[in-house]
Amino acid sequence: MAKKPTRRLARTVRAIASWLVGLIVFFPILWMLLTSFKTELDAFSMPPHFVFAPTLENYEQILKRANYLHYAWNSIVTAGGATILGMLVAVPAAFAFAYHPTLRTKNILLWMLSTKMLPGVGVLVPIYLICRDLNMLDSRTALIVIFALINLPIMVWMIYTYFRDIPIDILEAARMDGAGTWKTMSRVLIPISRGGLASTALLCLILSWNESFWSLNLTTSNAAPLSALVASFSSPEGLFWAKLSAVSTLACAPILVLGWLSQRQLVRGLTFGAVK
Amino acid sequence: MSRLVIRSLRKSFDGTDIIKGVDLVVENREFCVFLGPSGCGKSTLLRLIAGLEDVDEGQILLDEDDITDLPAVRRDLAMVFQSYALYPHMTVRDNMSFALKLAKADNATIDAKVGKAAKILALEPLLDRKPAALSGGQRQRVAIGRAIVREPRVFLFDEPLSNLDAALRVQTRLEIARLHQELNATMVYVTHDQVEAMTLADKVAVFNEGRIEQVGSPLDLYRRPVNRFVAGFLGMPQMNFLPLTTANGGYTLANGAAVALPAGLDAGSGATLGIRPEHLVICEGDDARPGVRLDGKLTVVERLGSETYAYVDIPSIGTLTVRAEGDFERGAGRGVCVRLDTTHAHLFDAKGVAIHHP
Ligand SMILES: Nc1ncnc2c1ncn2[C@@H]1O[C@H](COP(=O)(O)OP(=O)(O)OP(=O)(O)O)[C@@H](O)[C@H]1O
Ligand SMILES: [Mg+2]
Repeated sequence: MAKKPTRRLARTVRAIASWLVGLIVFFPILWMLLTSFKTELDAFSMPPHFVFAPTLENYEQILKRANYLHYAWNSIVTAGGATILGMLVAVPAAFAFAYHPTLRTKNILLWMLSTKMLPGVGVLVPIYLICRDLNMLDSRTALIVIFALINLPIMVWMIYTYFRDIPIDILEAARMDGAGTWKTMSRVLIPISRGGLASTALLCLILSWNESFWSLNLTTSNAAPLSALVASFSSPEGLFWAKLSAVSTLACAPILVLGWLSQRQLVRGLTFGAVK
Repeated sequence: MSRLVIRSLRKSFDGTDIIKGVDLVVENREFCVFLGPSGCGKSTLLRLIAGLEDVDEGQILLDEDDITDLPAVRRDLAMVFQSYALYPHMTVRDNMSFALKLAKADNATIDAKVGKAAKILALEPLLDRKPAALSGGQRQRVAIGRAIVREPRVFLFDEPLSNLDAALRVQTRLEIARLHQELNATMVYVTHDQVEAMTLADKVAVFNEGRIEQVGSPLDLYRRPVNRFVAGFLGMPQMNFLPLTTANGGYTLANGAAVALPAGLDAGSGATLGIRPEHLVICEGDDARPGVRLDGKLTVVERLGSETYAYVDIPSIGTLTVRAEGDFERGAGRGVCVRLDTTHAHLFDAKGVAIHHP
C-alpha cells in the first residue's frame, strides 16, 4: 500500500520527462511551422512571438514564384527510385554476407561502412566530371544512382543485422522443403524480416529526400528536387526567414506524413533484434 | 524403397578432419541411430546426407541413385531440426503444406495430406496458430508433421527431443517409435542419449571422433562391444574397467587378487577387464559364491527406488559401481565386499580392442 503513491509519482515524473524530451526534439519542426505563417517582420522580431496573426502570404508567394509540383515530383522520383534500386542491391548483398560468409566478409562490411567516412565533397569533382561526360548533369537518373550508392552501406548493414537474427536453420528447413535460393528469399526470408526491410527502405527514402549536397551540385532546374528549391530561397535577395520556413515546410511535409503513418512499422523494425 | 548407402565419406572444415572415412548402410524401412559424444561429427554426417554440406570425398547412394552432388532441394529427404526451425510467419497449416505447395501439389491433395498428418500428431486444433503460440512439445510435433506430409524417401532427425523436458521426451520418444511402425519409412536419427538409441533403433552406429566404432542392434552393442569406447559409452552407469597385470602365467588385479580367465585366453600384457554394474554383487561377511572377493567401503549410495547404485571404494583398485536392489539398506561409510564373477567379464587388450565377451 505504502508503495503506491511513490510509484504514481515516479510515473508522473517519467511522463513529464518524456514529454519534455519529445518537445525538445519536435521543437525545430514546430518553430519552422509557426514561422512559415508569420510575416517577415514577425519572423525577425526579438524576443520571438508565439502569438501572432497568421498569414498565408509566404505560401502564396512561393507557389507563385516556383513550380512546387515539379520539384516535388523530382523528389518523389529520385528518392523513391534510389530506395528501390538500393533495396534491390542491398537485400541480395546482405543475404550473401549473412548466410554465405567467407573469411573476408567482416572486412568487406567494414570497408563498405568506411566509404561513408569520406566527405562527399572529396569526390565531387570526379563525380561531376563523370556525370558531365555521360551527359547526365541535371538528370534524375544520376541522382537516383548516387543516392542509392551513398545509402547502400547503411542499408546493407541494417539488413545484414536483421538477417543475422534469423536462425539459419529456418532457411535450411526451407531448402529441405524444396525451396531454391529465390523461393527461400521470397517466401521465407523476406516475409520474416519485412519489418526490418520496411524501416531500412523508409530510412533510405528519408535520407534521399533530404539530401542536398549532390542535388545542389548536380542539378540546375530540370531534375532539381525539393531540397534544391529550399536552398534557392536562402541566398539571392538576402535571408527571408518566413519564406524559407514555408518552403521547408512544403519540402518536408510529404516525408513527415509518410513517417508519421508508418511510425509503428519503423519503430518495430528498428527494435527488431532487441525484442525477439 | 529407400536404402541409404554411405561409402568412405570424408569431410573437413577449415583443414580439420571432422568425418574421417565413414561407411554405413541403412536398409529400407530401418530406424538407424547415430550415437556418440558431443562433437564427434554426428550432425555433420546427417547434414552431409541431407545435402546441407558438401562432401569432400566418398559417395552417398540412395537406392541406385548417386546423390553425392545433388542439391538438398532435390534430394527428397525431410529433416527435423533440433531447434524445430518452423517458419515463424506461417500458421501450422502453412508450415506443413509449404513443401507441397512448392512441389505444386493441388489443393485437395495438400488438404488431405496435412489433415492426415495433423490427425496422427493430434495437431488438428492448432492448425491455424502461428508457431509463437505453441508450446515446445507442440512445435516439435509440427516439425515432425512438416516432415510427414512430404512422404520423403528418408527422414532425418537431429536430436529432436533434446529441447523437451523429461516427461515430454519420453512421450515423444514413444510417438516417434509408433510413427516409424505406422509410416514404415527409413529413418536416420542423431542423438547422444543412449536411452533414445536403445529404445528406438533397429540399428545403432556408435561414433567417436569422426569414425564409426561399431554398428549393430542395440542389444548386440550392449552385449558384445568391439572395444572399450563402445563398452564404456553404452550402459548407465558405465561399465567398470579394471586393469590386469600378468603374474606367474596368470592374471591379477591391481590389488594382487588373482583372477581366473576363461581357459586358453591370452590377453597379453596391459589388458583390461570390463564388468557391468549389474554383474557385480555386494556380498555379506563370508559369502562363498564363485568369483573374486574385493573388500572396500561404500562411498556414495544412489537410490532410484527400483534399483540402487552403490559406489564402492576398493583400496589400490579404485571405485567400482555396483547395481543393487531397490531395498538396499546399507549407507555410505559402511565397509562392504564386492564379488566379481569373471564369467560375466569382458576382456580388452592393451589397445582397447575386445578379445572376449561373456
Ligand atoms: N560449419 C562448420 N565449420 C567449422 N567447424 C564445424 C562446422 N560444423 C561443425 N564443425 C565442427 O565439427 C565437429 C563436429 O560437429 P557436429 O555438429 O557434427 O558434432 P555432433 O556430433 O553433432 O555434436 P553434438 O552432439 O554436440 O551436436 C565439431 O568440432 C564442430 O566444431
Ligand atoms: Mg549435433
